[in-house]
Amino acid sequence: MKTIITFVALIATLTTTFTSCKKDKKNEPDVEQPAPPTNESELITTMKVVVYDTTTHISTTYVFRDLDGPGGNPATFANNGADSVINILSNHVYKTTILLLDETKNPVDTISNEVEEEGVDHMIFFNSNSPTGTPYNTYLSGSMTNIKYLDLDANNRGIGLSTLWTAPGTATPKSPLTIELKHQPGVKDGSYAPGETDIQVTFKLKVN
Amino acid sequence: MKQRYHVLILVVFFLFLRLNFSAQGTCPFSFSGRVIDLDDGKELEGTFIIMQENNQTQITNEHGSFHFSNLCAGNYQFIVRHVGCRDTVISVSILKDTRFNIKLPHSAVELNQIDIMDKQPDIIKTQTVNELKSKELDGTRGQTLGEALKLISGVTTLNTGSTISKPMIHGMQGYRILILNNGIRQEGQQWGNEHAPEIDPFIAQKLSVIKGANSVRYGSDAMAGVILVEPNDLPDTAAVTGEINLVGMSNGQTGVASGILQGNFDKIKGFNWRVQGTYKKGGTIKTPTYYLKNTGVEEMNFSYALGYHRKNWGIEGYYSQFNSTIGIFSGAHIGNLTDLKNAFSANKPQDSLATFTYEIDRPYQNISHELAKTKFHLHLSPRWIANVQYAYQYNIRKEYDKHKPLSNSLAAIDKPELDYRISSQTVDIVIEHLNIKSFRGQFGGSYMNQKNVYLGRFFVPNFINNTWGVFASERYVKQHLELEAGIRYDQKNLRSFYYIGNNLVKPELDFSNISWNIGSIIKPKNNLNFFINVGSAWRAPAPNELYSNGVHHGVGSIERGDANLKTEQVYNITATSLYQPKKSIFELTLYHNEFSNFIYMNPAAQPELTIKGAYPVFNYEQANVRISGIDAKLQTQLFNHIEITSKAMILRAWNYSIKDYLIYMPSDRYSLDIKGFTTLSGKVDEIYIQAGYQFITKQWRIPSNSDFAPPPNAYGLLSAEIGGAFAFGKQKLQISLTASNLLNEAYRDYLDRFRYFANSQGKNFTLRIKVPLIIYNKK
Repeated sequence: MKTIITFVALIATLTTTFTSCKKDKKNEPDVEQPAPPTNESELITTMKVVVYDTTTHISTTYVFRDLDGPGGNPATFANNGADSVINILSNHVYKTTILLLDETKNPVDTISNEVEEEGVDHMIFFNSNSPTGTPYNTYLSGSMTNIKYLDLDANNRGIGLSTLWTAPGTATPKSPLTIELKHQPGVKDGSYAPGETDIQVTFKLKVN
Repeated sequence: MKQRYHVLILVVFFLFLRLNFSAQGTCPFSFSGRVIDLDDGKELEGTFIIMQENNQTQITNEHGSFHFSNLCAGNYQFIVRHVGCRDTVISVSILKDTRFNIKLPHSAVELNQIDIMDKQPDIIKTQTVNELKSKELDGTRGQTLGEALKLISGVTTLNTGSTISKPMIHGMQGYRILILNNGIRQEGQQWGNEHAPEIDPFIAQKLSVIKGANSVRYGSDAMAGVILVEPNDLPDTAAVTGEINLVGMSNGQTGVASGILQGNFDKIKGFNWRVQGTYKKGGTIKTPTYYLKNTGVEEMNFSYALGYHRKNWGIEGYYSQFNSTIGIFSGAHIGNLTDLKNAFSANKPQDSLATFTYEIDRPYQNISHELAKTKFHLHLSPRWIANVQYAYQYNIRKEYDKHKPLSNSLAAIDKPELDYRISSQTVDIVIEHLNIKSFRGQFGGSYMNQKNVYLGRFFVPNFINNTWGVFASERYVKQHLELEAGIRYDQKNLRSFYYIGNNLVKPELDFSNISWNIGSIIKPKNNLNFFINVGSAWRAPAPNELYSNGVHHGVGSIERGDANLKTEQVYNITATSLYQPKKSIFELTLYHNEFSNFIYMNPAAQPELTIKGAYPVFNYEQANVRISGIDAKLQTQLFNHIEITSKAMILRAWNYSIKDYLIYMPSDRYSLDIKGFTTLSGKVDEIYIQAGYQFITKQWRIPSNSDFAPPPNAYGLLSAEIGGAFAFGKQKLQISLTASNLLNEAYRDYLDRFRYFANSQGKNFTLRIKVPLIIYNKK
C-alpha cells in the first residue's frame, strides 16, 4: 500500500514538473514561421538631411538608407550614391532638418520625433565636435562651416535635429561631414564623449 | 540600500535556524565492516575504500576488513574500488558507530535499512579526469561555475566581466565542451561568448573535468572535454540531514545563501528525497580605483530530487530551475567602431563616476533555465544493468539593449531586444556489463530533439535539430593494465527557418560521422599511473555559425555565418602521468589536438558601413589548426603541517591556414600556494592559513591585425585565506575568510571582453560559513 502511495506521489510530482515547463510557452511563435523582419519592434532605416536655402527657398534632401538595418544588405546613399555629397553655397544661410525614419513600417515611422521628445537623453553631433556657446554652435574646419543648434531640450541643451548652417568663407573641396546621434541617458552635458552611438552617417560637404 | 539588509536578514535567519537542530559536535564515531565478493562470498583483501570528503583511504586487510575512526556525524560518500570489480560509490549517514558489509561487484550494499542503490555509471576511464570536491569545492562557494572550475589546471575562462564566465578546457569553449548537469547535457544558447552556463554551482558536490576528446560516451561534440556537475547520491540511511552555505563578498557587497535538505523515510523503504535552493544578490563591482556601472547580479535557483529504489531497480526524478539577471557594464555596451576606438584611447571608462548600487539597469540579461529529468535503472542480472534517462530542458534568454525603444509606446512595454526560447528533449539508453572475465563495457544510444525560436531581433534563426547516436565501448582490466576502445556513430538533421530580405528560407542539412577512442592505463605500481588516450571527435556547424547575420550587440560587432561550412573534426592525444608517493602528488598532462575545418570568427579587413556607423565584421570561417600544451601540478607536504602546491599551464596554438597564431587562446600561467594547517583539540577541529600567488603571462601569440586593441600586460595576483572547523556548543561550523587580489592590482585579462573598456575586479574579501545539519535521526 505504502509503495503505491509513494508511486502516486512520485508520478504526481513529475507530472506537475512537466506541465510547469509548458506554461511559459504560450506566447511562443511557431518554430517554422519566425517573426517576419518588418515586425521587429524598432528599426531606424533612413536618415534624411533636408537642407533649405533661406535665400533661394530651395529645399534639397539627401538620403542614406539601410533598409534591413546593420548587417544583411549594405547601406546606400540615394540617387546611386550622389546623395553622399551635400552641396551648399557660401554666404547663404541654410536651415537644416535631420529626419530619422523607419521605412519598414507602413506608414513610415518618423523616429526623429521621438528623439526630440527624449531630447534630454539624445544629441546630434557633427564631426564629433562638442559644441560651445549659447545657443550651441560648432565650426567644421574642413568646410569652414558654422553650425548653430536651433532646438533645445528640457534642460536648455541643444538637440541638433534642427540647425542653421552658414559657410562665410570661400568655396571648399569636398570634406567629410559625420552626422551622429548619441544616446546619453543621464550623462548628457553637451559634450561628445559620453554615451553610445545610435546613428552615424558620414556625408561629404562641398561649399560652392 | 534596502537589498543590503535583505541579505543581512537572510544571514541572521539562517544563523538562528541552527539553534533548533540537535546535532553532534564532536567526532567520536567509526565506520567499519568487511568487503565481500558477492558471487562467491570470499573476503576481498586489498580493496580501496576512499572517503570522498577528504580522500582518506583505507585498504582492507586479509579478512576484507576496514575501519575508519574519528568520524564526525554527517553524510559521507565512499568509493569502493577493487581490482576486477566495478567502482562503487556508497552514501552513508554516520550518526553512531556504524558497521556493515559491502558486497562487490554487484554494486549492492547490504545495509540493514536499505535494499540497493542506484549508482552513477563508472566514469573512471583511461581519460584524464580532474576533480574538485569537498574542501576545494567549499573554497569556491559563491563563485560562478566557470570561476570555480579554474582551480583545475588546464581550465581557464572566457569572461565578460567578473559576473559572466564561460569555462574553457585547453583553450576550447562553447560548443566544443560538453557540460553534464546531473547527467544531462546542458543545452542553452551556448554560442554567445557572453552566455555563461545556466547552472547553480551549489548543486554540485563534485565538479569533474575530463580532458581530451571524449565523444564516445557523451556525444560527438565533446571535443575538448566534458565537465560533470554532480550532486551526491540520494541518502541511503534513515535520517534527515542538510547543509547551509552562507557567503558574503566585500566587492559588490554580494550575499549568497544556499541550503540543502535530504532524507530517507524509515517507513517507506528505499524512498529518498532532496530539496535545494540558492539565492544570490550582488551590486556594483569595483576595480581598484572606480566602480563598474551596472554590474549587479541576482540569482534564484532551486532543485528537488526524489528517488525510489527496490532490490533490482530504481527510479529517480529531478527538477531544477535557474533564474538570473545580470547587469552588463554600461561602459562596455558600445554603438559602433568609433565608440570602440574612443573607449580604447580613454584611460577610464566614461561611466566611471558610478557609485555602489544593487539596482540593475539596461543593458542586462535575464535568463531562466529549467531541467526536468527522470532516470530508471534495472539490474538485468548481477552483471548487467540497464539505464534509461529522459530529460526536458527549457531555456529562455532575454537580452535588453542599453537603449530602450525611442517610441514611447514601445518603451513602455519594455520588451527585450533579443529573446530566445530553446527547448531540448534528450533520451539516453545505456546498457553496461560488469566483469565478464576481465572485460567490462557499455553500449547504448541517445536521441535529442531541439527547437529554437527567436521573438526579438534576428540573430540566430529558428531551428529544429534532431540528433541520434549509438555507441559501444569495452574495457579490459587487469591489475597493472587497462585497455579501452570505443566507437560511436551520430547523425544530425538541422532544419532552419529565417528570412533573407522578405523571403522565408528553410534550409535543411544532414550530418553524420564516426567518433572513436582508444586508451590505456598502465599501472606499474599502485601509486604510479600512466594514462594515454587517443581519439577523434567531430561536430556539425551550429546554426549561428551557418546563418547568423547581424549585429551581435553584447559584443558590438557584425557576425556573418557561412551556410557552406563543413563538419569540424579533431584528432586528440592526451597523456597523463600521475605519481603519488606518500603525501605528494606529481601530475603531468600533455595534449595535442589536430583540427581540420576548425570553425572560428575571422575579423574582416574592412568594417561595414551601416546607419549606425561602421561596425567591425567577423566572418565564420574554417581553418586547419593545432592546439597543444602541458598542464602540470606538484603537491607535497612538509613537516606534516605544510602543504605546497604549484601548478603550470602552457598552451600553444597555430592556425595552419593563415600561417599565424590562433586567436583568443589563453596565455601561459603559473601558480604557487602554501598552506599551513594543524588540528587543535577542544572547540577547534582544524585550522589552516594559506597564501597563494598566480602569475598570468602576456598573450603575445596572436595573429596580426586581428584585434581592436593590443593584448594586455602580464599580471600577478596575491591571495590569502584563513579558515577552520569550529564547534559552537553542539553545532559544528566551517568558516573561512579569503582575500583575492590582495594588493588591489589594476589589471586586464586577454580573455575578458571588458578588457577593452575597464580594469578587472579589485580586491575582494569573501567570508564563507558552512553549517552541516542533522535534523532528524531515527535513533
